[in-house]
Amino acid sequence: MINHPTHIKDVGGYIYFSDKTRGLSGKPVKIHTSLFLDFFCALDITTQEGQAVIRDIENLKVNPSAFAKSPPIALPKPRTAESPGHVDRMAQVRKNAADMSHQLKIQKETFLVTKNFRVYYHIHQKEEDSTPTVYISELQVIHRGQDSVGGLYQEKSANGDLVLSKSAKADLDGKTVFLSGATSSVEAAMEDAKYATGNHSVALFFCPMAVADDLGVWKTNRLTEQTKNLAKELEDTIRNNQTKTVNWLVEAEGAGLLSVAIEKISGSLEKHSFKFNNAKANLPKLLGDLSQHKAQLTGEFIGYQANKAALLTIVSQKDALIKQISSLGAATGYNSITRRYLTQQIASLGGQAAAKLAAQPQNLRGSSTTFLGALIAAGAQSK
Amino acid sequence: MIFPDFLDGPQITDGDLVRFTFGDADLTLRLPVIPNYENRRDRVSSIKDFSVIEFDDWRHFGDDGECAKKIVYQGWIYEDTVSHDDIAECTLEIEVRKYGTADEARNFSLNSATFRSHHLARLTEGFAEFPETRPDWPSDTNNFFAKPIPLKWVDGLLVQLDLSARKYPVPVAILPLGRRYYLNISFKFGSLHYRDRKNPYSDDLLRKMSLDVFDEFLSLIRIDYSPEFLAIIESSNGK
Repeated sequence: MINHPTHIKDVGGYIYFSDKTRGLSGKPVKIHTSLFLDFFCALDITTQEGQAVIRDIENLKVNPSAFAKSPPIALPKPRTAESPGHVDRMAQVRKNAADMSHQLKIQKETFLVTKNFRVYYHIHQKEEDSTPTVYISELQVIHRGQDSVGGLYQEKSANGDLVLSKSAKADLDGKTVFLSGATSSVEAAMEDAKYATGNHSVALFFCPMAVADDLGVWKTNRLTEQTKNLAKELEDTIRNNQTKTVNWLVEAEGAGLLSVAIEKISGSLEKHSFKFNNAKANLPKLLGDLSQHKAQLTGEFIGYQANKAALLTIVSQKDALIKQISSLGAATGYNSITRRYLTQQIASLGGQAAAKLAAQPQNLRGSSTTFLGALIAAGAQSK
Repeated sequence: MIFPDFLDGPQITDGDLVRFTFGDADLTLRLPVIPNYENRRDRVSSIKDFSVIEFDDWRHFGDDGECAKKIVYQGWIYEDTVSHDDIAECTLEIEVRKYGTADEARNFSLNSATFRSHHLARLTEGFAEFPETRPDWPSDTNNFFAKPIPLKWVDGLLVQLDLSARKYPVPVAILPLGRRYYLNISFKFGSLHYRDRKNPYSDDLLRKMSLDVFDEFLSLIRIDYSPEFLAIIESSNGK
């Protein structure tokens, strides 16, 4: 009889979550090693949020709701006049019913919601387990944000006070536009834009947090209407300014949104220049699309600043990225030197540490290291 | 401040004291200690003495030498202590602004009444370009809901401004810092939503809480004028 949720195919590869969940107190908590990269990218364990999530997962060992019994299957009460044999058979029937009820419970996967994580788990006792154990088999990241609407924003001065407003058809000629990563509010994204560009009159194309749920690199969900509409708005913004000179600085998930928008655009973008920082998207494909549109990709147009998810994204696409950069039009003058530096930089990015990180889901299988211990070690290596 | 049950976040009263010098005035703020969030926003100007300074990297506006410099930019989160859900996010921005040459010579900051009338006139002129169509929203007709912020020598001004088409206007405090500078403090507050669950706290409750937090922050601000400027205030019959 199968006694784990039927959709879980890989029943091996579970390791203890942390030293506190080895079963010395409370139920043991184990987690599948395939979740390592998701965890590593989505959570910084040194932050307040990271610590809260870890404590909540560790507390699954004492979470009573996880072990609550299902309502028993109703059976007829024994009549006093029944023979002893009949009473014994009924007792056996009740025991079987209780076991089946327990079986239904453990086959059912449930989840813990903490911060922006939804952690799916089930209770199971495998042969090597001395007690029923909590098995974490899936992880979902659900971002949160304010109710800010995505799109193009600009600031105007009211005698010094800055009024931020959404502009439908803006003339972006000569402007720098910051295409933000997924950010909780439009004001925070505008502050990021000014900080990144050092330009007080920068225009902002704002991506709300929900976009990050749709445009992940490791796990891609079906695009929601909200993300589709935002990509359409970006497409219209580019199209309306196609013949104007526009400098784009694209941050993190903004690259994913640009990838969707650029597919629908035809014609030349030769007056548009693009720079990427901590891009989280299929960058080789995006660069290929932009180069087909004759967009300017000059200087050090790919940047990376201590962002784990961006590092892994670049490392995982390293060869394709270098190949794509070398296939861009021939660089001239000083550009040929920066192009060479950029290629060398990407080639050396991460090095052995990043390769080891990418292999962790496989390496950790059967390891005595705890999941948290591996996360701490990986965090120290990537700094 | 009455903090709603089951909400937790940085407390203003537990904050760090930070001091800035502006020639005519010394400013002491109590800034909240920002926890180590994933996207931590905690920038405080490393320049503390503005008595002699160049204005090249300041944000310039107007045509009479007016300019501004952000000295504090902080953001923090309030979370539900039971579910650990992030409930609300707030941003504190403090800018020091330099008067234009003509305004500097007029000495608005010697007196609460002139300080108030000058800044209300400035807001009226600035926001004339952004006519407010929503009823009961701040505009020049209701003086931007201006209220005095009681200070020892010259009172500050608390107004509500429509800065980013939010559900509620943004409270902005304008405080005098002598002849040359004034302080502009804005406090933006918004409820947070996860895609799969609702925020259990109403917007109205969070709005009240945000105004309480801002009041508490303002009540802990201290402005000490130089003896020279105090003499000028007293000779002009001050408050």
